Amino acid sequence: MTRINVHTYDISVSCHTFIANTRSTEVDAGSRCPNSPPAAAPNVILTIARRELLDTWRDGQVRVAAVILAALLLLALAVGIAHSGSREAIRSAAQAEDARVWVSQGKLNPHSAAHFGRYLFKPVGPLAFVDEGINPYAGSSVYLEAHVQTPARSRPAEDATFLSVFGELTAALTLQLLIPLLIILCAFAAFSGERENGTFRQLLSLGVPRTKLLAGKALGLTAAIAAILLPLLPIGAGAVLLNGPEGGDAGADLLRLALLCIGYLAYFAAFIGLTLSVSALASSSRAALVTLLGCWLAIALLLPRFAADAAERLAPVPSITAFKQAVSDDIAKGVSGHDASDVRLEAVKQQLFQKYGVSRVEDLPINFDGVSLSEGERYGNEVLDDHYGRLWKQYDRQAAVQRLFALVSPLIALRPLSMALSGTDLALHRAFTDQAEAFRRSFIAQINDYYTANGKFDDWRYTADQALWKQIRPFSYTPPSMVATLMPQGPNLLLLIGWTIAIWLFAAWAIGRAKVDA
Amino acid sequence: MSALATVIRHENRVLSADRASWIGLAVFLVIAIYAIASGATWMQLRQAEAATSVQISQERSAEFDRNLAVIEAGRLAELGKPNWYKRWSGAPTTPDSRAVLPSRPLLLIASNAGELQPHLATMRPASSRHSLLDDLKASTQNPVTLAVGRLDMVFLLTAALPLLLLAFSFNLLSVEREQGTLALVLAQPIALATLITGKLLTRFLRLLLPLAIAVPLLLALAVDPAQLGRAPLDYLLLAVLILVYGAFWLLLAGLINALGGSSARNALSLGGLWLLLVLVVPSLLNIAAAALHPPPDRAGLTNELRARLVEARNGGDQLYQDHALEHPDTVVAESTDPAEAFDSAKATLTTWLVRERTDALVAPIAERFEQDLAAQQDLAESGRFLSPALLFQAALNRLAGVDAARSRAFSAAAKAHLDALRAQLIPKVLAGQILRAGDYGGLPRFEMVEPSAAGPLGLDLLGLLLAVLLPAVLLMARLRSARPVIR
Repeated sequence: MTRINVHTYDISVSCHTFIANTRSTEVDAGSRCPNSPPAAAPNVILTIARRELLDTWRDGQVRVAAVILAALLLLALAVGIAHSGSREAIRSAAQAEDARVWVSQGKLNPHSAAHFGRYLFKPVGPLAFVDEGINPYAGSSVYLEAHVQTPARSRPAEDATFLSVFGELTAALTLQLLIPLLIILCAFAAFSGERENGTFRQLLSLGVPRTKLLAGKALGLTAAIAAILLPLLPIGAGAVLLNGPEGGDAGADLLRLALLCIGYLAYFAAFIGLTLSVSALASSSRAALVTLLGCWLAIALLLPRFAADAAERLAPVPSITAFKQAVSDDIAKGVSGHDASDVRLEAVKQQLFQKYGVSRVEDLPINFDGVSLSEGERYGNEVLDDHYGRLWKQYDRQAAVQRLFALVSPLIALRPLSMALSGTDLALHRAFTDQAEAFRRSFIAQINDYYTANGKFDDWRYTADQALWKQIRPFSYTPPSMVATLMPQGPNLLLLIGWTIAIWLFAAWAIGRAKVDA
Repeated sequence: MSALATVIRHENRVLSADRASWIGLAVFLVIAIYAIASGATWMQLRQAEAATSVQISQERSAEFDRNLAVIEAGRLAELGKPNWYKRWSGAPTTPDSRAVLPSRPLLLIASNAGELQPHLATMRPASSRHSLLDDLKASTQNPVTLAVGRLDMVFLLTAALPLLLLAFSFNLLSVEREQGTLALVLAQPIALATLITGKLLTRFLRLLLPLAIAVPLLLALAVDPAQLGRAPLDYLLLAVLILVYGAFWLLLAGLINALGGSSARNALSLGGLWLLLVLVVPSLLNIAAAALHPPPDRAGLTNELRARLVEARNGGDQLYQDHALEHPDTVVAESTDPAEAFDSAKATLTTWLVRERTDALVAPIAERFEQDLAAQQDLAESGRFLSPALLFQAALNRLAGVDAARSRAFSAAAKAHLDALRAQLIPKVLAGQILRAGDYGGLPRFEMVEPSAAGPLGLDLLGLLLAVLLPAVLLMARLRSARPVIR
C-alpha cells in the first residue's frame, strides 16, 4: 500500500487543537488556535487540503501519471490546434475554388448548370481544437443540385485509419476519460488508506468534523487537478485569439471556452465526490480501487456507447438508399399517391392556359419547361421538408433517449454540452445544412426563373452563359447565436449539475457512515 | 504435475466462491449478447439496403427494356412520357449498375468501422472513374452515434475483455500475500512458478476458454444459417484470436503480480498498461500517421474533379470535332430535334468524350490522392505491431471484412465493373447507336474479387503470439531470478 503509508500525523492534544502535517513539512503556525474548539478552526479544511496535495505530489505513481497526462493533454491540444487550423484553411480555399469553378462554366443549358450544382464546405467550428465532436463522422461538404437535397457527404473518418477504437486523441477525450482516471488514482485511498493506517480514528478523536475532513480532501484533490489543467488554459485562450477563423467572434469564443471550463469542472467535481464517497465506504483500498475502476468503465466507456446504440435502436433512421428512394417515389407519385407529377403539372398547365388565354404550351409567352422545373422544385421541396423533418425528429428522439441515460452517467450529459460549446455538435451541423439547403432552393429557383423567362418549350438546346452564373448570389453562413447554442443544452447542464449535487450529498452521507477502523 | 493440479483445483474453488467476479462475468456476457444482437440488426439493415439498391437498379433496367419494346413497336404515345424520353431511354449512357460489397458472416462485430466503409456504388458508363464510391457516401445515420461509438463486439472484445480478465487476475498473488496465506502456500512443496501457472491456467480454463467458445457460438446463432457456411473457419479463427489476446492479458497480470507489489498497486499498474496499449499507443500512432502522411484533401479533390469537368466540357465541341476527324468512317448523325439536346447520338458521344478527357486530366491527381490514403493506411497497418490491442483489432476488422485492404479491393472491383460496363456500351456510343429492348437485361453484373486476407491475418496472429511470449518470458525470467516477495 504505497499510497497510504506516506504520511503520519503530528498530534498535539494538549492545546486542544490538531496539527495534521507531514513528516517533512514545517508545522504551520497559522493553523494553531490554542483556545478555540477544533470545529471552529478556520484552517482545518485548508490544512487537510494542503496535506492531501502534498501527499498526492509525493506519490511517485501519481506524479508519473500526472506528468504523462499533462503531456498527452498538451499534445492533444497542439494537434487539435494545428488540425483545425489546417482544416479551416483547406475549407475556405475549397469554398473559394468552388465559386471560381462555378463561374468558369461556359455556355450551357441552365438546367445542366443546375445539375452541375455547387459544393458547400462546412466550417470546422470555433473550438474544434478542444472537442472535435461529430466533425469526423458528419459530412464535411454539401452537394447542391437541382431536384434533390442530399445529406452532407465526405465524412473525414472515412479517410482515417483503423487505429483508434476511441476516436482521435483530443483534449475533450483526455478530459472526459483520463482526468477522471487520474482523480481515482489520486484519491481511491483517501479514506480507506487513513482507515487502514489507523489515522482515521486519530483524526476523528481530535474532533475534526467528518464533513470538514471531506471538504479538505476534496479541496486538496481539486488543487492537484487544477495544477495540471490551469497552465493549459492560456494555451486554449491563446488559440482562440490567434487561431480563430476569419470574421469569427473571439469574445464569444472566449465565453464558450469559459463555459466549457465550468462544465468540465462540474464533471470533475462529480468524479471527486464519487471517488471520496467510495473510498469512505469501501472495506479496503483495494475494494475502493476496483469499485471505482468499475464505475469509470461503466460511466465513461460502456454506458455512453450503450446509450447511443440503444437510441439508434429505439428511434431508427432509414438507410440513405431507402431514404433517397422514398423521396423520389413521393416526388414522382405524389405524397398521397394520387397526385403524381404529371397530374400536378397538368393542373399548372391549365392555370397558365387560362391566365394567358391559350390552349397550347407552345403559345405561352413563357418557357413551359422552366415552369415545369419550378413546379417540380416546389413540390419536391415540400416532400424534402417532410422527409428531412422526420429524419431530424428521429435524431431529436435519439438525443432524448441518450439524455435519459445521463441519469446513470454524467459523461452522457457532459458530452453534448462540450460539443455544443465547441461548435461541433449536431445542432450546428443542422444549422449549416439548413442554410445550405435554403441556398440550394434560392439558386435553383433563380436558374429556373431565368429559364422560364428565356428559352423555348421543348428546346433543350438553349444555353445561358457566365452572365447568369455570375448572377447567383454567393452563399454566406451565419453560425447560430450563443443563446441558440446554449438553450437546447439546458437539460444537459441541469443534469450535470444535478449529478454533482447528488454525488456530493451522497459523499456527505457516506463520510458520516464511514467505518472508523479497518 | 500433481502440485499444479492441486493449485488448479483449489483456485477453481476460490474463483467459484468469488461472487463479485461472477457478477462481472455475467454483466460482460449480457453486454456481449446485446452487442451481438445490435450488430446483427445493423448488418441486416445494411444487407437490406444493398438488396434495395440492386432491386431499384434492376427494376429501372426492366422498365427501360419494357418501354424500349413499346417504343420499337411505334407506340411511344402510350407511355405518356415527354418527348425526350425516347432518346434518353435509348442512349447507351443511361443504364446504371450497382456494385455491392458482399458482407462477410462476421460483419456484425464491426458496426462502427463498417458504417464508414463504402459498400455500395452506383455507376453509369459516363460516371467518373475517380468518384465511383462517393455517390452513396452521403449518410442518413446520426453522426452523434458514430462519434460516441456503437457498442460493437470489436470494441467490447478489444477494450472491455482485457478489463474483465484483469478484474479476475490483478491480485493473483498479492491477495495471498495481503491475507498472509502466500507464506503458508510456499511453505508447502509448491514452487512459486507452479502457483502462478496454476492460477493463470485456472483463469484461462474457467474464464477465457468458455468466453472464446461462447462468443463465436453466439455470433453464429445471430446470422442467417445460409451465410454461416461461407466462412466456417472465421469462427474458429475468432476463437483462437480471443484465446491468444486474452492469454496476453492474463500473462501480463501474472508478470505484474510476480513483481511483488500490493493489490492496489497491481491494479493501478495493470490499469495503466491497459490504458497505454488500448488507448494511448493507438492514439499516438494515429497522430504520427497523420503527421507523416497527412490525410489527403478530399475537398480539394472534389474541386479538382469539377474544375477539370468544366474545362473538358467547355471544350466539348472541340473534342467532338477532333473525334470526327480521327474517325471519319463512323459519322455520328446530329439530331435536328431540339428536345434531344442532351441525349442525341452526338450529345451522348460528346458527354462520353468529355468524361474520358476529364478522367484523363484528373487521373494523376486522383491516383496521388489514393496513394496518400493508402500510405497512411499502410503506416497504420505496420504500426499495429506496437500494441497487441491493435493487432487484435486489425484481425477482427479483417474477419468482419471491413479492413482497408478489402475496401480498396472493392474500389478496384467497382472500377473493373465500370470498365466491363463501358466495354459493352461505349462502342455503341462511338458508333452513334441506340439501345434496343433487351439490352438493359444483358448488361454485366458486378462481381466482387475478394482479396486474400490469409497473409495479413497470419501476421496478426503471429504478432499476437509474439506479444504473448513477451510477458511469458519476462515472467519466467522473474520467477527464476528473483526470490518471491512473501510479505
